[in-house]
Amino acid sequence: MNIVEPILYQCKLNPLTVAISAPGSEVETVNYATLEKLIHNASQAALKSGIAPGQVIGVLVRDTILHAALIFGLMRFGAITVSLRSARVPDGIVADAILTDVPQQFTGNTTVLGVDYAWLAGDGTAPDYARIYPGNEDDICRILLTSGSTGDAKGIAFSHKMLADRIANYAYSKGPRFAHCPRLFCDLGLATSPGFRYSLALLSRGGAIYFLGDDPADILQAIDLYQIKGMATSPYGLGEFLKFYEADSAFEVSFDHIICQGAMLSRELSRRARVRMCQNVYSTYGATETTTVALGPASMIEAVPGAVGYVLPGVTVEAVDDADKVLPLMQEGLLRIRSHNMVTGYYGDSETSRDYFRDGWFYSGDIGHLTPEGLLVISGRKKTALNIGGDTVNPERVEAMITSFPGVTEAGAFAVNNALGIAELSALIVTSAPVNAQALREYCAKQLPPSCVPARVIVVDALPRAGQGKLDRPRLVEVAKAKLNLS
Amino acid sequence: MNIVEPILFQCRQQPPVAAICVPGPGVSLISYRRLALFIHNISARLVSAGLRPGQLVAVSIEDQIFHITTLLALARLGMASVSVRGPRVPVPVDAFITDKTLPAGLVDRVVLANMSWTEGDGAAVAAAPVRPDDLCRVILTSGTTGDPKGVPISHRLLADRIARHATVFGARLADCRRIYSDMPITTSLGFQFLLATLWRGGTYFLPGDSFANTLTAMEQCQAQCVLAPPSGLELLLKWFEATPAYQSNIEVVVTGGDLLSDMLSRRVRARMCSHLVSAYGSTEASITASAPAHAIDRIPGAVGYLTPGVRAQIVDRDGVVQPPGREGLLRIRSEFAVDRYLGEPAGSERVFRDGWFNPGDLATIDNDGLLVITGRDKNVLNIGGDKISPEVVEAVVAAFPGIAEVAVTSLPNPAGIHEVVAVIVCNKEIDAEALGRHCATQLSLQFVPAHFALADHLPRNDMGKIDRHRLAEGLRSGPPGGVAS
Repeated sequence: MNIVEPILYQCKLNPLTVAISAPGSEVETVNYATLEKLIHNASQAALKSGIAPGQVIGVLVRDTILHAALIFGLMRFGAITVSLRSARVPDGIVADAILTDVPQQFTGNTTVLGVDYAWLAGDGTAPDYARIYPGNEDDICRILLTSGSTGDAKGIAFSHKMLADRIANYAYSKGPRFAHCPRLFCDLGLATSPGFRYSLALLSRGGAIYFLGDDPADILQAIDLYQIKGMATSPYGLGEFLKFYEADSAFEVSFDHIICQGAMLSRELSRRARVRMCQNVYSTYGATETTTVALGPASMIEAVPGAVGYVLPGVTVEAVDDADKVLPLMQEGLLRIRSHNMVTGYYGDSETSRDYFRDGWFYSGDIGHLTPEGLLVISGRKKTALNIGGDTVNPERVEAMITSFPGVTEAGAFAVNNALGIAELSALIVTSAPVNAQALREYCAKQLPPSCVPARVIVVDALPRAGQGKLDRPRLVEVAKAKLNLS
Repeated sequence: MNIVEPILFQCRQQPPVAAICVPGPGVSLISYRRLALFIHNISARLVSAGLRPGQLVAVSIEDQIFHITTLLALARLGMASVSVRGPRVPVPVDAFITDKTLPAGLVDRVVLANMSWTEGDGAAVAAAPVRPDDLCRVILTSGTTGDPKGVPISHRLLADRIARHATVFGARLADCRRIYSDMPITTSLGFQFLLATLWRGGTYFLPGDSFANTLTAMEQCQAQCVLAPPSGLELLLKWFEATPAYQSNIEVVVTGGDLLSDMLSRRVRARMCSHLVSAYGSTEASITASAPAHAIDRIPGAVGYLTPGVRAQIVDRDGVVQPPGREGLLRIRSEFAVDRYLGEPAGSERVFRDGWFNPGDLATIDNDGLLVITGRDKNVLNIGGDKISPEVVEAVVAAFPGIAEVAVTSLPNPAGIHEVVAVIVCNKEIDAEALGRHCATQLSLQFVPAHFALADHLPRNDMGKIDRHRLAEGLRSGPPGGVAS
């Protein structure tokens, strides 16, 4: 089955229901009837411009609805789409053409087509899809880019069938409230891997999906006005929304659930979000390479620092040592993941694939352990590990401890050399209330080895963030220096 | 993945939420916490009874919740189940689990079960992982010939079928977490809805011991969705119509298993719930077409739009594909269909041919993918060489005031000539002559029923389909009584 078919089916059944909305944008909302026309018009326009089934098409379009129409229109007739987040096609992916609303930003030899709503003007009739693309559900239709904290996005190829399998898991993998949610606000853009999959899930079941528009303030009004029930976001995004809601106590919130993913949800953020925004906060942990790996209600997991959720059905997680020997429960090691619908490598990059995929397992690079109850606890990343006077320190483990201290909402740990040239652990923190640095250090010292206790704690307004709200580790030192020079 | 895993995951995520409710005495309500306990405790009994992965086990247990949890325990252990009502099992099985004493020698391997099976420490029994194509469930389908056949459904196929519920039944169903089902778990759709509801962490209601208890439970727990075959819908609707003061909370009604008459469709939407979804499908091929009733009620016989992942064609008797709009035999090819019956009984090569499933329905498909069922090929009435679908005659009779239900067949008269006979269920007194005249205005004379037999109800199979085999048997065993015209 072509992955766009269920969406077009909903267009037939619920023509007047809201499909996609990005409050504050030029074209703010489309219902299913309009979406259907836009998809068919996008197919027609793309075919007319010479795009053929099987070609790889990069899409960089800021307007969410235009973006959605293009990728669904292209995939419906067998083109392979890859949504870009900047005017650069990641290494290993060869695009046959680029569709974009910022063509001037692209350089190089690839065909670049400027697109806007006028480009896909048409009468809304469907091309003869059956003739143009008889189709096979095992054909590649989508390349999703990993977020990659270092900024090097890697491509992962999906067939129609693989995407359908991933969406099927959403019946349980995002929690029981999401499974019954008709209207979701997705704080993660359509170009991101989770944003794309949430769109597929919602649109395949006739629900409405809301994205940030040109002016993010508009979504706040929309959430109340349209009774948006669910929210999918990163901890960073959740923190931003929480700031607003805490600052304006008059604003009523009617969320039914919030799903938080992409990075560790701190206990402080979890508690305050549950107090002010919505009691039902879920943490999920996963990777585009595998699928959603773990899920847990924040109320159940926030007592354990670093816990991200319970391992989901169909997924196996193991902690192993450097020789790939499986470690017993509760023992920390390198995590490897296997799931029935994982991929086996990166698109066009067999060298990197060998680093991450071995013997049917995906080695995420995360360090952690499992409890006997199936709770997955993350304590760090292999590659982010810091060398503090010879001791290997996982900054995530330190950060989880610091953010469990009252008043600390976010933390970023890093190493700097002291006057003697010895690496010392330092931490940037964002606070919601005055924090006594000495008390914080003592708190950490009680529970962590000495090398894991930050020698210096610096309060900042915000941490540097990269794509999807992930901590931009290389910039932590820079921000710390700027802050210290200022004060 | 084993289809029970997501259910056990929900058990851990939300233990206090109600999972299954069967209003009445016995175990009437279990939470997800107890659901997990039941599954694990029953699993331990199954293992100690010597049952092994890969075996096919017949289950005949009266208590619904005990029955369901036994099916889930079997599936979790990698055993396949087939639910049966009596001691007769039409497919070869390795064992027979029942809570009743059976006549000796009827079935080889009987395992007696009772409610104590659900007790224990709730410890999970180790279960080897299943392969996606391992058999999970066998659904018995009678077809129209009266010979039950087993439809084998693997873990993968069940998961794929469940995954598309959100798409094929529309947006309203996706919002519902409390679902009342009048389709028994012996049926394909009933079992799928059970799994789909539990996968999503919702609550599944089944009919209780009495109509009153069922309604009370539905009201108290605010059931949002009703799933019922047209015949079950009719029963529920009658109560609604007789109780005008009652205000319904139902948000969506899903019906399938038999053709939905235009009149029933309108009455349901007027009194119970304006959002009615009609689904056309089969145990063999799953849901083939669906649509909200209001979108298709202007076209007689329309059952819905072809669903994603389904290819359907209309062919003539020589297998030549017909253009859109032309009537012919329907055939279906779909990734959600099975390609054989269990044991491949005689005659199955006519049903599964060249990769197509042939349900034996006459239909048209228009350019928009709208499927219109015009009759069942296997049920054509042959009256002195003139052929007509019983559905056509039934539609005419059903339109007469006072007729609640009707089924039409043909029987030879003393002269050996086939005549049309209608079995009717009335909701008020009928003037038989007026009924005859009414039919004569719309049907050729040879198709006007020669007899109208009054009945309290029509014989139906589990899916609510009229059992024409039993209908004809019943009429043969005694002279048609009631009103004659």
